[in-house]
Amino acid sequence: MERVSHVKFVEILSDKLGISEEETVKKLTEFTIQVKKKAAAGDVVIDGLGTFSLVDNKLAFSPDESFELEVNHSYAGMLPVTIDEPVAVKSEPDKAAKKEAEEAAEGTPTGVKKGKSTTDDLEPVTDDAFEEEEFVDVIGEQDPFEIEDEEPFDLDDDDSAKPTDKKKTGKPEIEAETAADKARLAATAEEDKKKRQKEEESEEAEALVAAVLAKKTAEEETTTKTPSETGETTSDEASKSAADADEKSGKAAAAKPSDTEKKADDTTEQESTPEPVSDDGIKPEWVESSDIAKPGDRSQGNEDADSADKTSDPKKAKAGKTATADSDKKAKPKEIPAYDRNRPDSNTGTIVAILLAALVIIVAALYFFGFIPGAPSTATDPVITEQQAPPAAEQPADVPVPAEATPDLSEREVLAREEAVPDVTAQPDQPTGDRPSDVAITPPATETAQTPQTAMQPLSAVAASAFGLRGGMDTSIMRPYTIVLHSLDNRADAEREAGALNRAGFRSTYFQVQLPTGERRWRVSIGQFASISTAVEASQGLPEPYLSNNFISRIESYNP
Amino acid sequence: MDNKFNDTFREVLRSLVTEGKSVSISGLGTFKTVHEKQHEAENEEGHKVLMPPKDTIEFIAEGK
Repeated sequence: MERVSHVKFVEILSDKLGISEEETVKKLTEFTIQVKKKAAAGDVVIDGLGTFSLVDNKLAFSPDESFELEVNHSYAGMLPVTIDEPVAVKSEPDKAAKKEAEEAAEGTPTGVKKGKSTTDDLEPVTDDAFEEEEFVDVIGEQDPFEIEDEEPFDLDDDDSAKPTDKKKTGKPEIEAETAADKARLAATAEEDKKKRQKEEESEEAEALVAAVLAKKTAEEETTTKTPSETGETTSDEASKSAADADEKSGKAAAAKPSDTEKKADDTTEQESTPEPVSDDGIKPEWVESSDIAKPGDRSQGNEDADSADKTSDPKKAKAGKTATADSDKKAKPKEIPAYDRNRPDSNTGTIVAILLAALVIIVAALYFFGFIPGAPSTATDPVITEQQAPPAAEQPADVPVPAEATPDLSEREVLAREEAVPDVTAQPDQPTGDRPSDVAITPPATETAQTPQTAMQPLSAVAASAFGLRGGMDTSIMRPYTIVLHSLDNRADAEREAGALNRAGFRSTYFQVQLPTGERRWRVSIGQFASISTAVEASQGLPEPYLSNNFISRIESYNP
Repeated sequence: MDNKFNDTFREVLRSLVTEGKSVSISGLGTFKTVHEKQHEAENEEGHKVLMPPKDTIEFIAEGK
C-alpha cells in the first residue's frame, strides 16, 4: 500500500489550495487542534468525510457513509450469498426476465431472496426419478417370470395323468378340476346309456326273430298236424326254430357277435320254456310301432312259409331251414327298421351328450381364458395370453404364467421399456415441472410443482464442460457462480478487462450492477461454477493480485 | 475554520484513501483502507451465507 506522509499530504493540499506549504502547514495545524478540542467536548462532524470523537482519551474516526461507499466501490452492492444454492439453466429468456421481475418485486436489489432462495423451490431432477420408473418395470417383471405355470386345462386329461401339476395350483385349479370331472362324468354316462340302448335293441331284435320263427313254426304245425299233437309238437318245433333262430341271429348280428350269441342263448332259454310263445309275449310297443307289425308283411311272410311247407313237407329240417332262411330274410329288413325305430332316442341322447360336452367345453374355455371372474389366465396360446394378461404391475402374485407365454411377456417388457425411454430422453430440454410424469411410469410424488422456475433446467442436465475456469461462457446457465475480479465504473473498461482475461484463456464476462446509491458499476468476472464451493476452490489457484482480491458472486445477467 | 480549507482537505483525503493510499497527518493520525476478505457467516434466519469482501476505512490516532 502506498504511503502518503504528512509532508506529501501538505504539498498536495498546498497545490489544491494555491497557497504556500508554510501557510498550508499553519492552517492544517490549526485544523487538527480544533478537531481535538471539539472532539473532547463532543463529536466533530465533517460533511463528506466523517465524525471525529474522543474515545478513551483517544481520537477516533467514523467515516461518512458516502466516503465508505467510495472506498468500497469494488464490492459495493454485494449481499451475502446463500451457500450451495442450485444453479439452473434457462431455456427461455422471457421466463428469466419474468423471474427477475418477480424477484425485484420482492424488494431485493440483486434478485436474491432473503432466507429461502427462489431456487429452493426447484427440485433437482436426478437419476432417482428415473430409478423409480425402473423399479415399476422391475415390479412388472417380477411376477410373470418368477411363478411357474400349471399345465393348460384340458378336458381330455385324466386326473391321474398329471397329479403333480394339479397339486401346484390353488382354488382356481380345483374349480377347473371340478368342471373337468363333470365333463368326464357326463361323457361316461352318455357312453353307458348308449351301450345299454344297443344291448336293449339287440335283445329286442333277437326276441323278435325268435317270436317270428315260433309263430311260423306254430302255424306250420297247425296246418300239418292234428290239434291234439299241436301242443307237443309246437313246443318242439319252437325249440328247433329257436335253435335255428339262434344260428341265424348269430349271423345277423354282425356288429357284436359275442354279445349277440349271449343274447341269443338267453333268448333260446326263454323261448325253450314250456310256456307257448304268442303275440301276447311280445312287448306291446315293439309290435305296435314297428314296421314289421304291418299285417301285410306278416301275411306275406306267412304265405312264404306256407309255400315252403307245401313244397317240403316231408323234410321238416329242410323246410325249417328254408323257413328259417326266409324268416331270416324277413328278419333282417325287419331288424333294421326296428333299430331305426329307436334311433331317434339314441340320436337325442347323442345330441344331448354333445350339447353337454360342448357346454362344458365352453364353460371351461371361458374359465380358462379368464372371462369368468377369478379365473386364472393359463392359456398356452401366446396371443391369447397377451390379450388376457393384465398389466404386469396389476397381475396378482399367485397368477401363474406358462413358460410358453414368456416370449410374449418379454415382448411386453421391451415395449414397456420402449415406452418409458422417451419419457426420459424425448424431451431433454423440457423444464422440470413440464416433464410428463416421470410420470407414467413415474409416480406422482416425483412430479415437481410448476413454478416460475420452469424456465430453468436442472443442473444435472448441463454438460460438465459448461462449468470451469477456462473455456467459453455458456449464457444459458442462469445465475451461475463466478469469481469477480474487477468492479469498474464504465463499460469500456469492463469490456477491455474481460477481453484481456479471455485472451489469457479464462472464460470471462462482465455484467452491470446498480449500487444502492443509484450508481452503476461494471464487474468483470471469470469462470462459471455450479456451486460456491467449486468456485472457491478455483479461486485458490488464481495469481496475485486476484488471489487476495476476488469475490465469488452470481451472474444475474450477462453482457447487456 | 476556513471553509475552503475544509472542503479541500476532505476532497484530497477522500481521494487518496479511495485510491488505497495510507495518509498520515501529524496531530491526527493515519487514514488507510483495509480489505476484508469474503467469509462464511450465518444470517439472521440461521442460514449459512458467504459474506462479500469489503474495503473499509481505518483510522489510527496519533500516539501521544
